[in-house]
Amino acid sequence: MTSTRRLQKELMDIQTNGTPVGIKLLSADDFQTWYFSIEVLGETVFAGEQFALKFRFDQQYPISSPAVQFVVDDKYKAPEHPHVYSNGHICASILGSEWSPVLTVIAVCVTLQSMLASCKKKERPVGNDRYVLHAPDNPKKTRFEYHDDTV
Amino acid sequence: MVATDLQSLLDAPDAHDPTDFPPQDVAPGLRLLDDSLRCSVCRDFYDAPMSINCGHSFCSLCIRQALDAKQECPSCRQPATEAHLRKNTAAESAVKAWSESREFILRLSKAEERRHVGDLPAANGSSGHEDSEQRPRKRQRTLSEEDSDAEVEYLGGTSPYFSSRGSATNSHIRAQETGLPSKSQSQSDSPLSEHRSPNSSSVVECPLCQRRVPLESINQHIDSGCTLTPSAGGPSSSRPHASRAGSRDKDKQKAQWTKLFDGGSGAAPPSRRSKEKQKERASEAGEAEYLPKVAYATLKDRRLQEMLAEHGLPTAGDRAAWERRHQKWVTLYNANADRAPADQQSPAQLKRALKRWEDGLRAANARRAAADVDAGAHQRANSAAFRELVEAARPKKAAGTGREGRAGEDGRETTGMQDNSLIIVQRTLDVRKHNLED
Ligand SMILES: [Zn+2]
Ligand SMILES: [Zn+2]
Ligand SMILES: [Zn+2]
Repeated sequence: MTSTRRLQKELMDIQTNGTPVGIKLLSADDFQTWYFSIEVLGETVFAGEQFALKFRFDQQYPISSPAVQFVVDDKYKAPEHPHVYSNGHICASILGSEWSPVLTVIAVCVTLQSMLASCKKKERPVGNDRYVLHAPDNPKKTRFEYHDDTV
Repeated sequence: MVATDLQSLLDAPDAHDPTDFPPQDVAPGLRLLDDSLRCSVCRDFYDAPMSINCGHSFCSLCIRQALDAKQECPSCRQPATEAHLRKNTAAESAVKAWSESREFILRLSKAEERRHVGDLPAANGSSGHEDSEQRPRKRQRTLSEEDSDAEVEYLGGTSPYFSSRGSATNSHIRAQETGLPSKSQSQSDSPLSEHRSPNSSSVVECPLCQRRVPLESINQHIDSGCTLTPSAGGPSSSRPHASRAGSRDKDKQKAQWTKLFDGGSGAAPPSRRSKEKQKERASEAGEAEYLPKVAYATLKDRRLQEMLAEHGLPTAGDRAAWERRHQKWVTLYNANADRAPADQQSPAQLKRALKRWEDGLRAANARRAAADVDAGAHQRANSAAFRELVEAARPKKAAGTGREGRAGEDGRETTGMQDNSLIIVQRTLDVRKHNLED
């Protein structure tokens, strides 16, 4: 209930004000799962690439954070970034311990976009292969130790 | 683009949003005003607004739930606890007045917008044109009419906005960021009172809070513990239309009684009777009105069941369900106690809210069950390997930046990401504000 009303308002905001440059709503068929496409603009290592983000919401949203990951399928791949595992899981504090209920889906998109934009070198996190092998379906079940963002 | 898919999701009967109003150049400050009375957690109008130590405000229920999850201000991350909660009565009266006037202002501003657009034909090109194209379209999804007159009729007449009291009194906090709350606070008594009584111009100063209140509503104001500064619609302003006429009569009656008690003399202090009533209410409103938080870990099953029974709550489900139920009940109950007396829900209503919440939880769990069972079992089987990984992924200390990872709760290290995310929050809020001002 909580989540539905709040998500409705976010959707309304998106429809009225649009999305920030490089971010587009792909689908929002219900209040459980939304998809966005995300591009990094300007001269970055991801120039010309397009990624997709999957958001899953539980009933406690926005008190609890959404489960967010990059889509990995026939069409999309996870960006090669030191905080992004090849299965699409993202190690970002804002999605875990630093989540705040005033944050929104768009705020998350913008944060991840800027995380990609600041990337200097394409590489996977340490232990990517083993993580992917053992990872749960829902990234929220992983207790990430957040990588240092300044590296 | 995706409009067709979104259609059904957006058809909320009481959806309302600051961008219902024309942009800044047509209606200066209106979007910001509407925005400033919303809680930044739920994005609805403040419902029983509470301030915390940093000065930010949220709906009682929103901030109580947020603090249960994490003891910090959702907006600025300053440490905060329930002990810091204070009623924000100024915001509460502002929401009440705004809820009552919103429909009217909306109608006026829409008329103004049409005039504005008419005044600037093709000359002002992009911005004016875009607005006239886009804004009506937004409304079309709830409105199958074509012309904009019908739209105004719709907005003014049967605005779904007032059909649910929940929507009219819910809350958010961008108040602080927009700098508006102080403005609306300082204005909150005067416009209300001036606006209100065309035939009785006497205004008295409340002996308790020193606010200026129309004579005929001083008793009501004091009875409400200084939370109500009634205007024409009185405490019924946020209730559905149907009940309005009736309670307006009641207000009139009440006002008449007030005049009798005060002997109609302008500066008369509130009657002794109302002071006693106020005292009575204050004692009722003591600690007893709130339920204490419970340390469930130390409770025996039987005691927990008794506690549920005391409030007439079901004891179905397992121990975890009881704890969840009781905890949610305490939160709902206490948040309800923060509402102005006239807005408080009955225990039966609260129980219905609790049930809806449990039903939703059950549905969501069922939906995810299959996937989670698999993933959970898988993860448990691999937990040792997982711990190693987590160890391997430990944050490297920021080299040379002087910014060290610091120990978070339970000894985990958090890193520069925190500051980064706050900057983003700020930026997002700025973007929002910018949009609102356009
Ligand atoms: Zn704060
Ligand atoms: Zn709220
Ligand atoms: Zn007072």
